[in-house]
Amino acid sequence: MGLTDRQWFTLRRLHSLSGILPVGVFLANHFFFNSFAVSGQGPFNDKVELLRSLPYLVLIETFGIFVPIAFHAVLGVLIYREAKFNNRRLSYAHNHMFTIQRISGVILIFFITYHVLFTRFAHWFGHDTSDMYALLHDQFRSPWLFAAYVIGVLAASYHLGNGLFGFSIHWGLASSRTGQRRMARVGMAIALLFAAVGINALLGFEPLDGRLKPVRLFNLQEEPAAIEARIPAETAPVDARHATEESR
Amino acid sequence: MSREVHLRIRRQDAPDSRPYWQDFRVPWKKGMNIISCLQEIARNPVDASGQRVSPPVWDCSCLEEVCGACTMLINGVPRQSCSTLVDNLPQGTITLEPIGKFPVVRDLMVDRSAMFRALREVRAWLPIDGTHDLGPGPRRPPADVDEAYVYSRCMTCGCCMEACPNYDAREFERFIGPAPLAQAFYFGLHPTGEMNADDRLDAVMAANGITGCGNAQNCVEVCPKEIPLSEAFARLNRQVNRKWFAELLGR
Repeated sequence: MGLTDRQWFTLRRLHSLSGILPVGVFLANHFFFNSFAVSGQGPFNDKVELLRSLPYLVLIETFGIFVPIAFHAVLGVLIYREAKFNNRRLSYAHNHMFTIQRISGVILIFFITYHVLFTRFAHWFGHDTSDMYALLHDQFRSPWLFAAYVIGVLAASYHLGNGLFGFSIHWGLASSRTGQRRMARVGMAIALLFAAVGINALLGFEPLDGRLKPVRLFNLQEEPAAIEARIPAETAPVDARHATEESR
Repeated sequence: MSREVHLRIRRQDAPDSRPYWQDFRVPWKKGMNIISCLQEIARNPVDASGQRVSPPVWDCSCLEEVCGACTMLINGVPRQSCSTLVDNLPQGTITLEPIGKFPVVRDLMVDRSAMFRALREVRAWLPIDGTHDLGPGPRRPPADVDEAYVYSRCMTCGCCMEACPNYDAREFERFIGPAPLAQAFYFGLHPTGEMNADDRLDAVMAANGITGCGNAQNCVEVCPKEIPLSEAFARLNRQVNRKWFAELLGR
């Protein structure tokens, strides 16, 4: 490649940075907003509308999300190709974490491509994107698609958590062995938290035809029955969106 | 009393010839190490089937884990064959292989010159511009000396290079490997060495420098001298990032 040493160094540092900022921050935001699915169809779709109405949306989507993820992925593939895995011979915890980091990255390239095409750009394939909750609920009727999303959430959570450990070394934050061990633990704790929140958000879409339900913790919202009593139009949740759509 | 040690050795007659395996049995002796097994085979080069073979070639020098020459894969793990005692290994056949990241010269002997080339690249030395007396060096606090001493124990044995999933001597332009990076850090610790820190950091920031590290930390696990390589990398990262910022934005 026709890059100078410094340009390559800068790209590698930007790769490390982009994983946390903005991609990691985006992931936190993404999992948090998707958790509105736990509250049900109405609250989730309201938040989708809110996000769709953000000012400078196209700029945020392009330069805050798409370009950083694409950059991180392209350089990530080059980094993946540097590795010659030797986990069978050298079965150490960090060596396994190193390998899983690379494998989860590759999984994420495929998953995110699929995920973005069939949510953000689902209308290209003739899907109705006015009710995103219903769209995902329908997709998750398939156990395979639901499993793919669970794997995607786990891969993303791990990749960010362990990436935080790598970040702490690339930026010289954790230098001692003990400090690095601590960062690895913090990273894994964050990965577990992201995985729990992310999977619960998936469960919010009541996958497998409603056979799976989310865990509703700390939910201060009224019971769905109470809301239905107050707003009769929302009794049939899937049609509610269309009703408000028409009234506009 | 006919206890025997079983060895399975990966052999290769020439740098470009096909490797093959050979089994040996040697009489067990108290306190024997891998090198004394190999010496026993060299004394009586007969394989397990009773056939007379050429004695396996290996590299060694000091026999006390200081020179770094006798690195090989012992049961798949890069170690010094002088300090690996047979009685400390699990029972059963012991496999011996040349370390795989360096070109094989013959049998268990490899060409580690890529490591020395990398040490040249990172300028792992203190430059002296003449033979005249430069006077005594600066005084240093004992804590600093102790810290630097840990890194001075590196014997370029190549265990870390072998264990590193990102290193391969045949792809020198991709990554120079853990040991040379740790040495660049070590020479920067010394007040005299610090005078040329910038040149060393330039090499560390090269495309085959520290960005090649993927934090698998196998280097730390296998280092026979217990050098905290991953600590050196984090602190080197701090130094090169500072240099990088200074170049981008000013000091």
